[in-house]
Amino acid sequence: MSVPLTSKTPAGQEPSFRHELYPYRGDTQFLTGTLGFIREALDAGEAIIIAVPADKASLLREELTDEPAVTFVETSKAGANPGRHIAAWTAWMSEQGEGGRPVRGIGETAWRLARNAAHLSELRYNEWLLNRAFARSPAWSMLCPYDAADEDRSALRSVSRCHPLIHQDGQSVRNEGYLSADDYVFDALPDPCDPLQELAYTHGDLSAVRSKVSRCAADAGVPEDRLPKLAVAVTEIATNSIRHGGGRGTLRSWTQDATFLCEFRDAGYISDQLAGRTRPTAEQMGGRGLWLAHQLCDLVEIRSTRDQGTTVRLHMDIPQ
Amino acid sequence: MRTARALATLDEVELGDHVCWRRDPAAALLADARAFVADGALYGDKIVVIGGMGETFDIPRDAVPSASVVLDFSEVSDTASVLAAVRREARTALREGFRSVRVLTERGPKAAPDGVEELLDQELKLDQFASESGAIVVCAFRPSQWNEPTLEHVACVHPHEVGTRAERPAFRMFSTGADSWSVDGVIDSEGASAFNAALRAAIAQAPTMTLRFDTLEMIDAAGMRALVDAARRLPSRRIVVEGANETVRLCWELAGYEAADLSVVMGA
Repeated sequence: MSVPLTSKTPAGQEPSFRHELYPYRGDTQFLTGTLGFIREALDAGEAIIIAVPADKASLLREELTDEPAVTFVETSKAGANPGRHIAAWTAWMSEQGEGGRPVRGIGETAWRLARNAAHLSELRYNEWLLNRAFARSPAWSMLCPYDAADEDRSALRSVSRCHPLIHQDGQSVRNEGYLSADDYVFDALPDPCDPLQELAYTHGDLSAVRSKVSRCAADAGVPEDRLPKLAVAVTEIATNSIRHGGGRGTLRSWTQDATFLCEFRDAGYISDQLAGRTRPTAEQMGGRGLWLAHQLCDLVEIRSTRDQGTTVRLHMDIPQ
Repeated sequence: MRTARALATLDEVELGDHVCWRRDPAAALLADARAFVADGALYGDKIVVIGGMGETFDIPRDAVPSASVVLDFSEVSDTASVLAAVRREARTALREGFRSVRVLTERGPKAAPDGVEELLDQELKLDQFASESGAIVVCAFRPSQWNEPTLEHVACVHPHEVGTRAERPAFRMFSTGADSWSVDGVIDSEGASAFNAALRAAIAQAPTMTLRFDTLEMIDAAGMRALVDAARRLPSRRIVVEGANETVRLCWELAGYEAADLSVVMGA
C-alpha cells in the first residue's frame, strides 16, 4: 500500500535525495505535475534544472518565461550512453547549486528512443543508480516524468522499480515496488552472435587486443574517426583485467544489428556500482579506466559478481 | 624531422640515428659490429668505439680503420664524462674532414649508471647528441645480461632499433631539437612506467621542455598519470605538449587534467 509523503522532510528525519517517478498522460498532465514541482521549488528559493525532450521543454518554456531560477539543459550533451548521465547531472547540479542552494531536477528519459534492448536496460539501471549516486545529497531532488500514454503497464512497472517515490495526484507516495536491495537484478546478457572473434589476453598483449578490436570494428563499419576512441576504451578494460581481474581475460567481439560489440571477461570483481560514472579529479590516482570507456563508447554494460567475475561489453554504433 | 623506425640490419643506419641493437650471442654481435665498422670507412665516417664497457668489441686493431678511436672507460664513468669525450671526438672528426662519427658502444649492466633513471638520462643525452650532430650512435645490448624491464625502458629512448620487433616497445621518445622530445607510438599501462622514467630524466635537463605528440597514436589513463606524476615531481619545470591528436586531447580533458593546476600544457 502506498503511503502519502509530504514534500518536506519530517522533523527528526535525515534529509535524503528524493527521486520521484511521475507517470503522466498527455501534455496537460505533464504541465500540471512538473509546474507544481517547479512552483514548490521556486517558493522555497531553490534552483531548478530541466532536462526533458525538446517538445516538452517548449511547453515548459512558454510557462516559465524570464524565470532566472530555472535552467534548461540539453540532454543530448550528456550523450546517448546512460553511463554518462550521473556525471552530467552532478555537473549541472553543482553549477546551479553554488553556495549550498538546494536544487531540483526534472529529467525525462526518452525511453522510446532506446536503440535496442541493451540500451533500454542500461537506461533503467542508470535511473536506479541515481538513488545511489545522490544518496548523500539532501539538497537535491529529482522528478522523472514518464509518458504513460501508451498504457504499457509492463514498461511502466520496470521503470517504476527504479524510483523510491511516485508522484501522483499532486503528492509523493512511497513506491512499494522500488528495488531497494543492494544488488540490482540485471537483465541477462544475450549470447553473442556468430560469427564472433575470440582472443585470450594477459600481460604484454594490449597491443594485440587493440589490433584485433580495431580490425574487427573497421570491418564491421565503425567509422574510422571512432576507432582511436575505441582503442583507448579497450585498452582500459583489458588493463583492468590484467591488473585487477586475475592477470588475464578473454576478449570476444561481434556485430549485432547496427552495433559492434566487444566483450571482456575476467575473474575480477567490481564492488563499486558507481565505478566509472563520476568524473575523476586531477588528484585521483586511479579510477579513470571505466570512466573513459563510458565517455568514449556508445554503451557500456557491466556485470560483476564475486562468484562469476566481471564481464564488460563495449558497444559502438554502426551508421546505417 | 627525425622519425622512429625499425632497421632490418645495421646496413640501414642513417646520419642522426640512435639505434638500440639487441643481439645475442656475442659472436654474432661481433660479426655485425665488424661490418658496421667497415661500412663506416666506406662512407667516410670516423669510428668511435666506447670500450671498457664489455669485451664484445675487442675488435682486432687491423680490422678497424686507422683513424678509429677507442674511448676506454675502464671504470664506470659518469654521463657527463662519456658525453664530453664523444662530443670532442665528433668535433675532431669534422675538423679532420670526416662525414660524421659512428659511435659504437656496448651497454652492459655492470658498467651502466646506477638506476634506470640515470641510464635513461645517459641515453637521452646520447640521443640529443645524435640529433644535433648527425652522428650515428649504435648501442648494443645483450638481452641475456639484462633484466627485461630495464631493457624495455632503455629501448623506449632509442628512436631506432635493429630487428623486426615492431610491437615492442609500444612507444619511443627521442630528441627533435633543443629541449624538444617526440613521442611515437602508443603509451599504455605496459609502457607507462618507462614513459615516466624517460620524462623524469628529460625534464631534469631544462626548465621547459616541449613534448611533441604528432606521432603518438594514443595514451591511456596510466600513460597520462605517468606524465602528470613526472610533472609533479619537478613542479618548477614546465611541460608543453604539442601536436596531440583529437583523441589524446579528449582523453586528457576527460581524465580531469585539462582544468587542473598542473605544469603541463596540452596543446594541439
